[in-house]
Amino acid sequence: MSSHREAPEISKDPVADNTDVYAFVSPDRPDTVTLIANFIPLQQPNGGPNFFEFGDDVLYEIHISNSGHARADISYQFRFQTKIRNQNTFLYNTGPITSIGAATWNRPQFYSVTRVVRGRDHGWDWDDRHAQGTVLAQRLTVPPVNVGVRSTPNYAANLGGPAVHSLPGGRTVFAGQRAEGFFVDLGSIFDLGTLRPFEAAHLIPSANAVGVNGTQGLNVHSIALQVPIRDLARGGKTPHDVLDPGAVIGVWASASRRKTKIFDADEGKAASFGPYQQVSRLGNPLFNEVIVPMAAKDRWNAGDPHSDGAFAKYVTKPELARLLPALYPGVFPHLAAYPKDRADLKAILLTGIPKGVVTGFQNNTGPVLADMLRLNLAVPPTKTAPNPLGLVAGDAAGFPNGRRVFDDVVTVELRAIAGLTIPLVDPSFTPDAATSAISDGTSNTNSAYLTAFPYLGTPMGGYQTIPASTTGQVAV
Amino acid sequence: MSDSTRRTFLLVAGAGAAAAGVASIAAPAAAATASASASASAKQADRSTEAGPAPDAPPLVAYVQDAQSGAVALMVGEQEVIVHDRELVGRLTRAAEGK
Repeated sequence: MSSHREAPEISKDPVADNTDVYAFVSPDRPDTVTLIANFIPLQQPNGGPNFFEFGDDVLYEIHISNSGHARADISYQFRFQTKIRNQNTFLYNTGPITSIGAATWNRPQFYSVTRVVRGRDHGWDWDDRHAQGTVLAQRLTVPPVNVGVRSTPNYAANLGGPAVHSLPGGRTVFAGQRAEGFFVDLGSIFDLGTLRPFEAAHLIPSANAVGVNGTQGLNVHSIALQVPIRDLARGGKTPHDVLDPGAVIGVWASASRRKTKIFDADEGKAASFGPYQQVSRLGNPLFNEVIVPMAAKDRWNAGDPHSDGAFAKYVTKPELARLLPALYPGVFPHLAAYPKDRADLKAILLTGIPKGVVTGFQNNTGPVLADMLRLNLAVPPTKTAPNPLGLVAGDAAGFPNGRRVFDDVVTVELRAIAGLTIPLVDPSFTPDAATSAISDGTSNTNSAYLTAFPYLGTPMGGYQTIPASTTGQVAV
Repeated sequence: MSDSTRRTFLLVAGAGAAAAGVASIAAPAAAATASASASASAKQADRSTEAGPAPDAPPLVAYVQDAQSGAVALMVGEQEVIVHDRELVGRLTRAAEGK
Protein backbone atom coordinates (compact mmCIF):
# COMPACT_ATOMS: atom_id res chain seq x y z
CA MET A 1 0.00 0.00 0.00
CA SER A 2 1.03 3.61 -0.07
CA SER A 3 2.58 3.27 3.34
CA HIS A 4 0.11 1.25 5.34
CA ARG A 5 1.86 -1.30 7.56
CA GLU A 6 4.85 -0.91 5.27
CA ALA A 7 7.62 -1.69 7.75
CA PRO A 8 7.93 -4.41 10.40
CA GLU A 9 8.07 -2.13 13.44
CA ILE A 10 5.40 0.37 12.49
CA SER A 11 3.04 -2.40 11.43
CA LYS A 12 2.75 -3.17 15.16
CA ASP A 13 1.97 0.45 16.02
CA PRO A 14 -0.96 1.57 13.86
CA VAL A 15 -1.70 4.72 15.88
CA ALA A 16 1.64 6.13 14.72
CA ASP A 17 1.57 4.59 11.24
CA ASN A 18 1.62 7.33 8.60
CA THR A 19 -0.24 5.90 5.62
CA ASP A 20 -0.51 8.68 3.04
CA VAL A 21 0.59 12.27 2.50
CA TYR A 22 -1.06 14.70 0.12
CA ALA A 23 0.04 18.19 -0.88
CA PHE A 24 -1.66 20.30 -3.54
CA VAL A 25 -2.65 23.83 -4.39
CA SER A 26 -6.26 23.96 -3.24
CA PRO A 27 -8.54 23.90 -6.29
CA ASP A 28 -11.24 26.02 -4.63
CA ARG A 29 -8.80 28.35 -2.88
CA PRO A 30 -5.78 28.58 -5.21
CA ASP A 31 -3.99 31.04 -2.95
CA THR A 32 -3.62 28.21 -0.43
CA VAL A 33 -1.98 24.81 -0.19
CA THR A 34 -3.65 21.81 1.41
CA LEU A 35 -1.48 19.35 3.31
CA ILE A 36 -2.94 16.05 4.52
CA ALA A 37 -1.28 13.29 6.53
CA ASN A 38 -3.19 10.09 7.22
CA PHE A 39 -2.60 7.66 10.06
CA ILE A 40 -4.10 4.48 11.57
CA PRO A 41 -4.58 2.25 8.53
CA LEU A 42 -7.31 -0.19 7.54
CA GLN A 43 -9.92 0.88 10.07
CA GLN A 44 -12.98 -1.32 9.92
CA PRO A 45 -15.74 1.19 10.76
CA ASN A 46 -17.52 -1.11 13.22
CA GLY A 47 -14.34 -1.65 15.25
CA GLY A 48 -15.72 -0.68 18.65
CA PRO A 49 -16.29 -0.35 21.48
CA ASN A 50 -12.89 1.34 21.70
CA PHE A 51 -12.98 2.99 18.34
CA PHE A 52 -9.95 4.38 16.54
CA GLU A 53 -8.40 7.62 17.76
CA PHE A 54 -5.14 9.56 17.56
CA GLY A 55 -2.47 8.73 20.12
CA ASP A 56 -2.10 11.08 23.08
CA ASP A 57 1.48 9.83 23.31
CA VAL A 58 2.34 10.47 19.66
CA LEU A 59 3.72 13.68 18.17
CA TYR A 60 2.28 14.07 14.68
CA GLU A 61 4.03 16.45 12.30
CA ILE A 62 3.86 17.76 8.76
CA HIS A 63 7.18 19.17 7.54
CA ILE A 64 8.04 21.57 4.76
CA SER A 65 11.48 22.17 3.30
CA ASN A 66 11.68 25.32 1.19
CA SER A 67 15.38 26.14 1.02
CA GLY A 68 16.87 23.27 -0.95
CA HIS A 69 18.57 21.30 1.79
CA ALA A 70 15.81 18.76 2.49
CA ARG A 71 15.52 19.76 6.12
CA ALA A 72 12.37 20.94 7.83
CA ASP A 73 12.25 24.72 7.58
CA ILE A 74 8.67 24.66 8.82
CA SER A 75 6.88 22.02 10.84
CA TYR A 76 3.29 21.89 11.94
CA GLN A 77 2.90 19.83 15.08
CA PHE A 78 -0.27 18.21 16.35
CA ARG A 79 -0.68 16.93 19.91
CA PHE A 80 -3.78 15.14 21.12
CA GLN A 81 -5.47 14.74 24.47
CA THR A 82 -8.33 12.39 25.24
CA LYS A 83 -10.91 12.71 28.01
CA ILE A 84 -13.45 10.35 29.53
CA ARG A 85 -16.57 12.28 30.48
CA ASN A 86 -18.41 9.51 32.30
CA GLN A 87 -16.17 7.25 34.33
CA ASN A 88 -18.97 4.78 35.06
CA THR A 89 -19.98 3.51 31.67
CA PHE A 90 -18.42 1.27 29.08
CA LEU A 91 -20.11 3.16 26.29
CA TYR A 92 -18.31 5.23 23.65
CA ASN A 93 -21.47 7.30 23.50
CA THR A 94 -24.33 7.40 25.94
CA GLY A 95 -26.81 8.60 23.33
CA PRO A 96 -26.85 10.13 19.88
CA ILE A 97 -23.90 12.47 19.26
CA THR A 98 -25.50 15.32 17.40
CA SER A 99 -22.69 17.85 17.72
CA ILE A 100 -18.95 17.69 18.33
CA GLY A 101 -19.50 19.18 21.78
CA ALA A 102 -22.27 16.78 22.78
CA ALA A 103 -22.05 15.45 26.34
CA THR A 104 -23.23 12.07 25.03
CA TRP A 105 -19.81 11.54 23.47
CA ASN A 106 -17.98 9.88 26.28
CA ARG A 107 -14.48 9.94 24.89
CA PRO A 108 -13.83 13.28 23.25
CA GLN A 109 -10.43 14.07 21.88
CA PHE A 110 -8.85 17.49 21.58
CA TYR A 111 -5.68 18.77 19.96
CA SER A 112 -3.30 21.64 19.62
CA VAL A 113 -1.54 22.98 16.53
CA THR A 114 1.96 24.42 16.75
CA ARG A 115 3.99 26.01 13.96
CA VAL A 116 7.75 25.67 14.24
CA VAL A 117 10.06 27.69 12.00
CA ARG A 118 13.71 26.68 11.83
CA GLY A 119 16.83 28.19 10.33
CA ARG A 120 19.48 30.70 11.18
CA ASP A 121 17.02 33.57 11.13
CA HIS A 122 14.79 31.84 13.62
CA GLY A 123 17.18 30.64 16.26
CA TRP A 124 16.51 26.94 15.93
CA ASP A 125 18.81 24.54 14.19
CA TRP A 126 17.22 22.34 11.54
CA ASP A 127 18.11 19.22 13.51
CA ASP A 128 16.84 20.53 16.84
CA ARG A 129 13.85 18.43 17.76
CA HIS A 130 13.27 20.64 20.77
CA ALA A 131 12.70 23.75 18.69
CA GLN A 132 9.90 25.80 20.17
CA GLY A 133 7.14 27.05 17.95
CA THR A 134 4.07 29.22 18.01
CA VAL A 135 0.94 27.57 19.30
CA LEU A 136 -1.74 28.41 16.75
CA ALA A 137 -4.63 26.85 18.65
CA GLN A 138 -5.43 24.57 21.57
CA ARG A 139 -8.37 22.40 22.59
CA LEU A 140 -9.63 22.00 19.06
CA THR A 141 -12.15 19.21 18.87
CA VAL A 142 -11.70 16.00 16.94
CA PRO A 143 -15.03 14.63 15.72
CA PRO A 144 -16.12 11.20 16.96
CA VAL A 145 -15.77 8.32 14.56
CA ASN A 146 -18.76 7.42 12.43
CA VAL A 147 -20.39 4.86 14.71
CA GLY A 148 -23.69 4.54 12.89
CA VAL A 149 -27.02 6.09 12.07
CA ARG A 150 -28.23 6.19 15.68
CA SER A 151 -25.03 7.23 17.41
CA THR A 152 -23.68 9.72 14.89
CA PRO A 153 -26.64 10.79 12.75
CA ASN A 154 -26.09 13.13 9.81
CA TYR A 155 -22.37 12.69 10.28
CA ALA A 156 -21.14 15.11 7.64
CA ALA A 157 -23.38 17.99 8.68
CA ASN A 158 -23.39 17.43 12.44
CA LEU A 159 -19.83 16.28 13.06
CA GLY A 160 -17.53 16.33 10.05
CA GLY A 161 -18.21 19.88 8.93
CA PRO A 162 -18.15 21.50 12.39
CA ALA A 163 -14.78 19.87 13.06
CA VAL A 164 -13.18 22.11 10.43
CA HIS A 165 -11.56 24.84 12.49
CA SER A 166 -10.20 28.24 11.50
CA LEU A 167 -6.74 29.15 12.71
CA PRO A 168 -4.98 32.51 12.85
CA GLY A 169 -3.31 33.68 9.66
CA GLY A 170 -5.96 32.40 7.25
CA ARG A 171 -5.24 28.77 8.06
CA THR A 172 -7.77 25.96 8.38
CA VAL A 173 -7.39 22.61 10.10
CA PHE A 174 -9.22 19.32 10.49
CA ALA A 175 -8.19 16.23 12.41
CA GLY A 176 -10.39 13.18 12.53
CA GLN A 177 -11.71 10.11 10.80
CA ARG A 178 -12.14 10.11 7.02
CA ALA A 179 -12.96 7.54 4.38
CA GLU A 180 -9.83 5.98 2.97
CA GLY A 181 -9.18 7.78 -0.30
CA PHE A 182 -6.24 5.67 -1.40
CA PHE A 183 -7.21 2.77 -3.62
CA VAL A 184 -5.24 -0.33 -4.50
CA ASP A 185 -5.81 -4.01 -5.10
CA LEU A 186 -4.14 -5.28 -1.95
CA GLY A 187 -5.13 -8.90 -2.37
CA SER A 188 -3.66 -9.23 -5.82
CA ILE A 189 -0.51 -7.13 -5.53
CA PHE A 190 0.64 -8.93 -2.41
CA ASP A 191 -0.05 -12.28 -4.09
CA LEU A 192 3.22 -12.34 -6.04
CA GLY A 193 2.64 -9.08 -7.82
CA THR A 194 -0.52 -10.04 -9.60
CA LEU A 195 -2.46 -7.37 -11.46
CA ARG A 196 -5.93 -8.84 -12.03
CA PRO A 197 -6.51 -7.14 -15.41
CA PHE A 198 -3.30 -8.79 -16.68
CA GLU A 199 -3.05 -11.98 -14.66
CA ALA A 200 -3.34 -14.19 -17.73
CA ALA A 201 0.19 -13.02 -18.49
CA HIS A 202 1.44 -13.73 -14.95
CA LEU A 203 4.01 -16.41 -14.30
CA ILE A 204 1.26 -18.30 -12.45
CA PRO A 205 -1.62 -17.41 -14.76
CA SER A 206 -5.35 -17.22 -14.30
CA ALA A 207 -8.10 -15.53 -16.26
CA ASN A 208 -7.95 -11.75 -16.41
CA ALA A 209 -10.33 -10.09 -13.98
CA VAL A 210 -11.40 -6.69 -12.78
CA GLY A 211 -9.47 -5.06 -9.98
CA VAL A 212 -10.73 -5.17 -6.38
CA ASN A 213 -10.23 -2.09 -4.22
CA GLY A 214 -8.68 -3.51 -1.08
CA THR A 215 -9.41 -0.38 0.97
CA GLN A 216 -13.11 -0.40 0.19
CA GLY A 217 -15.22 0.20 3.26
CA LEU A 218 -12.27 1.25 5.40
CA ASN A 219 -11.38 4.50 7.15
CA VAL A 220 -8.25 6.35 8.24
CA HIS A 221 -7.54 9.24 10.58
CA SER A 222 -6.52 12.41 8.77
CA ILE A 223 -4.74 15.57 9.79
CA ALA A 224 -5.54 18.18 7.17
CA LEU A 225 -4.19 21.69 7.08
CA GLN A 226 -4.86 24.45 4.58
CA VAL A 227 -2.49 27.40 4.68
CA PRO A 228 -1.72 30.40 2.50
CA ILE A 229 0.99 29.68 -0.05
CA ARG A 230 3.13 32.40 1.50
CA ASP A 231 3.06 30.36 4.72
CA LEU A 232 5.22 27.72 3.03
CA ALA A 233 7.19 29.33 0.22
CA ARG A 234 10.76 30.47 0.58
CA GLY A 235 10.89 34.06 1.76
CA GLY A 236 7.20 34.17 2.60
CA LYS A 237 6.29 35.01 -1.00
CA THR A 238 3.69 33.65 -3.39
CA PRO A 239 5.65 32.34 -6.40
CA HIS A 240 4.21 32.76 -9.89
CA ASP A 241 7.08 31.53 -12.08
CA VAL A 242 7.00 27.74 -12.45
CA LEU A 243 10.68 27.69 -13.36
CA ASP A 244 11.71 29.65 -10.26
CA PRO A 245 13.62 27.28 -7.95
CA GLY A 246 12.01 29.06 -5.00
CA ALA A 247 8.59 27.93 -6.17
CA VAL A 248 9.18 24.34 -5.04
CA ILE A 249 8.66 22.91 -1.59
CA GLY A 250 9.33 19.43 -0.25
CA VAL A 251 6.72 17.90 2.06
CA TRP A 252 6.72 14.91 4.34
CA ALA A 253 4.97 13.84 7.51
CA SER A 254 6.14 11.95 10.55
CA ALA A 255 5.02 10.43 13.81
CA SER A 256 7.22 10.27 16.88
CA ARG A 257 7.03 8.51 20.22
CA ARG A 258 8.82 9.18 23.46
CA LYS A 259 12.08 7.31 23.80
CA THR A 260 11.03 5.28 26.82
CA LYS A 261 7.77 3.65 27.77
CA ILE A 262 7.08 1.90 31.05
CA PHE A 263 3.97 0.01 31.95
CA ASP A 264 2.47 1.46 35.10
CA ALA A 265 0.63 -1.43 36.68
CA ASP A 266 -1.13 0.83 39.17
CA GLU A 267 -2.77 2.73 36.34
CA GLY A 268 -2.93 -0.21 33.99
CA LYS A 269 -1.36 1.74 31.17
CA ALA A 270 1.95 2.98 29.88
CA ALA A 271 3.82 6.11 30.90
CA SER A 272 6.32 7.68 28.53
CA PHE A 273 9.56 9.54 29.22
CA GLY A 274 12.28 11.26 27.30
CA PRO A 275 12.49 13.04 23.97
CA TYR A 276 10.40 12.21 20.94
CA GLN A 277 11.95 9.78 18.48
CA GLN A 278 10.58 9.41 14.98
CA VAL A 279 8.95 6.05 14.29
CA SER A 280 7.18 6.73 11.00
CA ARG A 281 7.58 9.06 8.04
CA LEU A 282 6.23 9.43 4.55
CA GLY A 283 6.87 11.63 1.54
CA ASN A 284 6.33 9.96 -1.80
CA PRO A 285 3.74 7.19 -1.73
CA LEU A 286 5.13 3.67 -1.85
CA PHE A 287 8.75 4.73 -1.30
CA ASN A 288 9.36 2.74 1.86
CA GLU A 289 6.84 0.17 0.74
CA VAL A 290 8.32 -1.00 -2.56
CA ILE A 291 11.71 0.67 -2.85
CA VAL A 292 13.38 0.07 0.52
CA PRO A 293 14.26 -3.55 1.42
CA MET A 294 12.47 -5.04 4.40
CA ALA A 295 15.63 -5.17 6.49
CA ALA A 296 16.12 -1.40 6.11
CA LYS A 297 12.52 -0.18 6.38
CA ASP A 298 12.51 0.47 10.12
CA ARG A 299 15.74 2.45 9.89
CA TRP A 300 14.31 4.48 7.03
CA ASN A 301 11.24 5.32 9.11
CA ALA A 302 13.44 6.64 11.91
CA GLY A 303 15.57 8.80 9.62
CA ASP A 304 15.22 12.18 7.97
CA PRO A 305 14.93 12.92 4.26
CA HIS A 306 18.28 14.70 4.02
CA SER A 307 19.97 11.37 4.83
CA ASP A 308 18.19 9.41 2.10
CA GLY A 309 21.31 9.26 -0.05
CA ALA A 310 22.01 5.99 1.73
CA PHE A 311 18.88 4.56 0.10
CA ALA A 312 19.51 5.92 -3.40
CA LYS A 313 20.85 2.58 -4.65
CA TYR A 314 17.41 1.08 -4.11
CA VAL A 315 15.90 3.81 -6.29
CA THR A 316 18.38 3.60 -9.12
CA LYS A 317 18.22 -0.19 -9.22
CA PRO A 318 14.70 -0.92 -7.98
CA GLU A 319 13.88 -4.48 -7.11
CA LEU A 320 10.40 -4.20 -8.60
CA ALA A 321 11.85 -3.34 -12.02
CA ARG A 322 13.68 -6.67 -11.93
CA LEU A 323 10.62 -8.54 -10.69
CA LEU A 324 8.22 -7.35 -13.39
CA PRO A 325 9.98 -9.16 -16.28
CA ALA A 326 10.25 -12.29 -14.13
CA LEU A 327 6.60 -12.24 -13.04
CA TYR A 328 5.30 -11.42 -16.52
CA PRO A 329 7.51 -13.47 -18.85
CA GLY A 330 8.01 -11.92 -22.26
CA VAL A 331 6.00 -8.80 -21.44
CA PHE A 332 8.84 -6.46 -20.50
CA PRO A 333 11.83 -7.38 -22.68
CA HIS A 334 13.06 -3.77 -23.02
CA LEU A 335 12.89 -3.20 -19.28
CA ALA A 336 14.68 -6.49 -18.62
CA ALA A 337 17.50 -5.50 -20.94
CA TYR A 338 17.91 -1.95 -19.63
CA PRO A 339 21.36 -1.86 -18.05
CA LYS A 340 21.58 1.66 -16.66
CA ASP A 341 20.79 3.20 -13.32
CA ARG A 342 17.29 4.64 -13.18
CA ALA A 343 18.00 8.34 -13.41
CA ASP A 344 14.31 8.96 -14.08
CA LEU A 345 13.26 7.50 -10.73
CA LYS A 346 16.09 9.27 -8.98
CA ALA A 347 14.78 12.57 -10.32
CA ILE A 348 11.14 11.86 -9.59
CA LEU A 349 11.64 10.54 -6.07
CA LEU A 350 14.89 11.98 -4.74
CA THR A 351 15.65 15.38 -6.30
CA GLY A 352 12.55 16.46 -8.13
CA ILE A 353 12.36 16.88 -11.89
CA PRO A 354 14.87 19.48 -13.08
CA LYS A 355 14.14 22.20 -15.59
CA GLY A 356 14.35 21.02 -19.20
CA VAL A 357 12.98 17.49 -18.75
CA VAL A 358 9.28 18.32 -19.02
CA THR A 359 8.60 21.43 -21.07
CA GLY A 360 7.66 24.38 -18.89
CA PHE A 361 7.87 22.41 -15.66
CA GLN A 362 10.25 21.61 -12.83
CA ASN A 363 9.94 20.64 -9.20
CA ASN A 364 13.60 20.24 -8.39
CA THR A 365 14.79 20.96 -4.86
CA GLY A 366 18.51 20.77 -5.48
CA PRO A 367 21.15 18.07 -5.28
CA VAL A 368 20.34 16.64 -1.85
CA LEU A 369 18.87 13.18 -2.35
CA ALA A 370 15.73 13.08 -0.25
CA ASP A 371 12.36 11.39 -0.37
CA MET A 372 9.97 14.30 -0.23
CA LEU A 373 6.67 14.99 -1.95
CA ARG A 374 7.65 17.96 -4.09
CA LEU A 375 5.15 20.61 -5.02
CA ASN A 376 5.69 23.51 -7.40
CA LEU A 377 3.51 26.19 -5.85
CA ALA A 378 3.36 28.21 -9.06
CA VAL A 379 1.50 25.49 -10.95
CA PRO A 380 -2.20 26.39 -10.74
CA PRO A 381 -4.72 23.68 -9.88
CA THR A 382 -6.40 21.92 -12.78
CA LYS A 383 -10.05 22.74 -12.27
CA THR A 384 -11.50 21.16 -15.39
CA ALA A 385 -11.14 17.41 -15.80
CA PRO A 386 -7.98 16.87 -13.74
CA ASN A 387 -6.24 13.66 -14.75
CA PRO A 388 -5.63 11.16 -11.90
CA LEU A 389 -2.47 10.08 -13.71
CA GLY A 390 -1.03 13.53 -13.11
CA LEU A 391 2.14 14.73 -14.72
CA VAL A 392 2.75 11.65 -16.88
CA ALA A 393 -0.64 12.31 -18.46
CA GLY A 394 0.08 15.99 -18.99
CA ASP A 395 -1.63 17.31 -15.86
CA ALA A 396 1.17 19.16 -14.08
CA ALA A 397 -1.00 19.88 -11.05
CA GLY A 398 -0.93 16.21 -10.08
CA PHE A 399 1.50 13.61 -8.81
CA PRO A 400 4.48 13.67 -8.77
CA ASN A 401 4.00 17.40 -8.57
CA GLY A 402 2.52 17.12 -5.11
CA ARG A 403 -0.31 14.67 -4.75
CA ARG A 404 -4.06 15.20 -4.89
CA VAL A 405 -6.49 12.95 -3.04
CA PHE A 406 -7.70 11.34 -6.25
CA ASP A 407 -4.35 10.80 -7.94
CA ASP A 408 -3.87 7.18 -9.00
CA VAL A 409 -0.39 6.87 -7.56
CA VAL A 410 -0.31 3.08 -7.83
CA THR A 411 -0.75 3.20 -11.59
CA VAL A 412 1.65 6.11 -12.00
CA GLU A 413 4.39 4.45 -9.99
CA LEU A 414 3.88 1.01 -11.54
CA ARG A 415 4.22 2.51 -15.00
CA ALA A 416 7.20 4.61 -13.99
CA ILE A 417 9.04 1.66 -12.49
CA ALA A 418 8.15 -0.40 -15.57
CA GLY A 419 10.04 2.14 -17.65
CA LEU A 420 7.48 4.67 -18.88
CA THR A 421 9.52 7.60 -17.57
CA ILE A 422 12.95 6.42 -18.70
CA PRO A 423 12.71 8.32 -22.01
CA LEU A 424 12.48 11.58 -20.07
CA VAL A 425 16.16 11.20 -19.28
CA ASP A 426 17.25 8.58 -21.82
CA PRO A 427 15.61 9.04 -25.23
CA SER A 428 17.33 5.91 -26.52
CA PHE A 429 14.98 3.73 -24.50
CA THR A 430 11.62 2.61 -25.86
CA PRO A 431 9.19 1.43 -23.18
CA ASP A 432 7.61 -1.96 -23.62
CA ALA A 433 4.19 -1.91 -25.25
CA ALA A 434 2.47 -3.04 -22.06
CA THR A 435 3.94 -0.31 -19.91
CA SER A 436 1.41 2.37 -20.66
CA ALA A 437 -1.44 -0.06 -19.99
CA ILE A 438 -0.32 -1.29 -16.57
CA SER A 439 -2.91 -0.81 -13.86
CA ASP A 440 -4.26 -2.71 -10.91
CA GLY A 441 -7.73 -1.84 -12.17
CA THR A 442 -8.94 -0.01 -9.08
CA SER A 443 -10.51 3.34 -8.35
CA ASN A 444 -12.02 4.98 -5.28
CA THR A 445 -15.08 3.00 -4.19
CA ASN A 446 -15.49 4.67 -0.81
CA SER A 447 -17.29 7.92 -0.03
CA ALA A 448 -16.85 10.48 -2.76
CA TYR A 449 -14.02 12.95 -2.40
CA LEU A 450 -15.18 16.37 -1.26
CA THR A 451 -14.81 19.42 -3.46
CA ALA A 452 -13.69 21.50 -0.48
CA PHE A 453 -11.47 21.10 2.55
CA PRO A 454 -10.68 18.52 3.92
CA TYR A 455 -11.32 16.87 0.51
CA LEU A 456 -11.30 13.28 1.81
CA GLY A 457 -14.78 11.82 2.04
CA THR A 458 -17.11 11.25 4.96
CA PRO A 459 -15.98 8.19 6.92
CA MET A 460 -17.75 4.93 6.38
CA GLY A 461 -20.26 4.14 9.15
CA GLY A 462 -19.92 1.30 11.61
CA TYR A 463 -23.59 0.30 11.51
CA GLN A 464 -23.44 0.34 7.73
CA THR A 465 -20.45 -2.00 7.62
CA ILE A 466 -21.00 -5.08 5.49
CA PRO A 467 -18.61 -7.88 6.42
CA ALA A 468 -16.63 -9.30 3.54
CA SER A 469 -18.20 -12.19 1.71
CA THR A 470 -16.55 -15.54 2.29
CA THR A 471 -17.67 -16.81 -1.09
CA GLY A 472 -14.64 -17.90 -3.02
CA GLN A 473 -12.23 -16.91 -0.25
CA VAL A 474 -11.36 -20.43 0.78
CA ALA A 475 -8.11 -21.45 -0.78
CA VAL A 476 -8.42 -24.23 -3.33
CA MET B 1 23.11 17.59 34.13
CA SER B 2 20.97 20.63 33.70
CA ASP B 3 17.62 18.94 33.94
CA SER B 4 18.24 16.50 36.70
CA THR B 5 20.86 16.04 39.31
CA ARG B 6 22.59 12.78 40.00
CA ARG B 7 21.29 12.95 43.52
CA THR B 8 17.73 13.23 42.26
CA PHE B 9 18.28 10.30 39.97
CA LEU B 10 19.63 8.05 42.67
CA LEU B 11 16.87 8.76 45.09
CA VAL B 12 14.04 8.61 42.62
CA ALA B 13 15.26 5.48 40.89
CA GLY B 14 16.13 3.82 44.16
CA ALA B 15 13.11 4.51 46.24
CA GLY B 16 10.54 7.10 45.31
CA ALA B 17 10.02 6.11 41.73
CA ALA B 18 9.89 2.46 42.62
CA ALA B 19 6.87 3.19 44.74
CA ALA B 20 5.38 5.27 41.96
CA GLY B 21 6.10 2.50 39.50
CA VAL B 22 7.40 4.76 36.78
CA ALA B 23 11.17 4.45 36.79
CA SER B 24 13.35 1.60 35.64
CA ILE B 25 16.95 0.55 35.43
CA ALA B 26 17.97 -1.24 32.29
CA ALA B 27 21.20 -3.16 31.93
CA PRO B 28 22.57 -4.85 28.81
CA ALA B 29 21.66 -8.30 29.98
CA ALA B 30 18.32 -7.49 31.47
CA ALA B 31 15.94 -4.67 32.16
CA ALA B 32 14.31 -4.64 35.54
CA THR B 33 12.17 -2.23 37.43
CA ALA B 34 13.68 -0.66 40.47
CA SER B 35 10.95 -2.16 42.59
CA ALA B 36 12.69 -5.52 42.30
CA SER B 37 15.24 -4.39 44.82
CA ALA B 38 13.72 -1.28 46.21
CA SER B 39 14.98 -1.65 49.74
CA ALA B 40 18.53 -2.47 48.71
CA SER B 41 18.58 0.38 46.29
CA ALA B 42 17.18 2.73 48.86
CA LYS B 43 20.01 1.88 51.23
CA GLN B 44 22.48 2.41 48.44
CA ALA B 45 20.91 5.73 47.67
CA ASP B 46 20.99 6.76 51.30
CA ARG B 47 24.71 6.09 51.44
CA SER B 48 25.31 8.02 48.25
CA THR B 49 23.53 11.22 48.95
CA GLU B 50 23.61 13.93 51.53
CA ALA B 51 19.94 14.83 51.47
CA GLY B 52 16.61 13.44 50.36
CA PRO B 53 15.06 14.14 47.00
CA ALA B 54 13.36 17.40 46.29
CA PRO B 55 9.66 16.99 47.05
CA ASP B 56 8.78 17.93 43.48
CA ALA B 57 11.44 15.77 41.84
CA PRO B 58 9.91 14.45 38.62
CA PRO B 59 9.88 10.76 37.82
CA LEU B 60 12.61 9.72 35.47
CA VAL B 61 13.97 6.68 33.70
CA ALA B 62 17.62 5.64 33.58
CA TYR B 63 18.97 3.53 30.76
CA VAL B 64 22.39 1.92 30.80
CA GLN B 65 23.01 0.74 27.27
CA ASP B 66 26.70 -0.05 27.67
CA ALA B 67 28.01 -0.51 31.19
CA GLN B 68 31.61 -0.39 30.03
CA SER B 69 31.33 3.16 28.75
CA GLY B 70 29.77 4.39 31.98
CA ALA B 71 27.10 6.29 30.06
CA VAL B 72 23.69 6.59 31.65
CA ALA B 73 20.76 8.10 29.75
CA LEU B 74 18.25 9.82 31.96
CA MET B 75 14.80 10.42 30.54
CA VAL B 76 13.17 13.33 32.29
CA GLY B 77 10.02 14.84 30.87
CA GLU B 78 10.74 15.34 27.17
CA GLN B 79 14.48 15.61 27.74
CA GLU B 80 17.28 13.07 27.61
CA VAL B 81 20.35 13.76 29.72
CA ILE B 82 23.48 11.66 29.25
CA VAL B 83 25.88 11.35 32.18
CA HIS B 84 29.20 9.49 32.13
CA ASP B 85 29.82 7.95 35.52
CA ARG B 86 31.28 4.44 35.75
CA GLU B 87 30.85 4.43 39.52
CA LEU B 88 27.18 5.20 39.12
CA VAL B 89 26.79 2.45 36.53
CA GLY B 90 28.53 0.07 38.88
CA ARG B 91 26.08 0.85 41.66
CA LEU B 92 23.14 0.54 39.30
CA THR B 93 24.18 -2.81 37.94
CA ARG B 94 24.83 -4.12 41.43
CA ALA B 95 21.43 -2.84 42.52
CA ALA B 96 19.82 -4.54 39.53
CA GLU B 97 21.41 -7.78 40.68
CA GLY B 98 20.00 -7.27 44.17
CA LYS B 99 23.40 -6.70 45.75
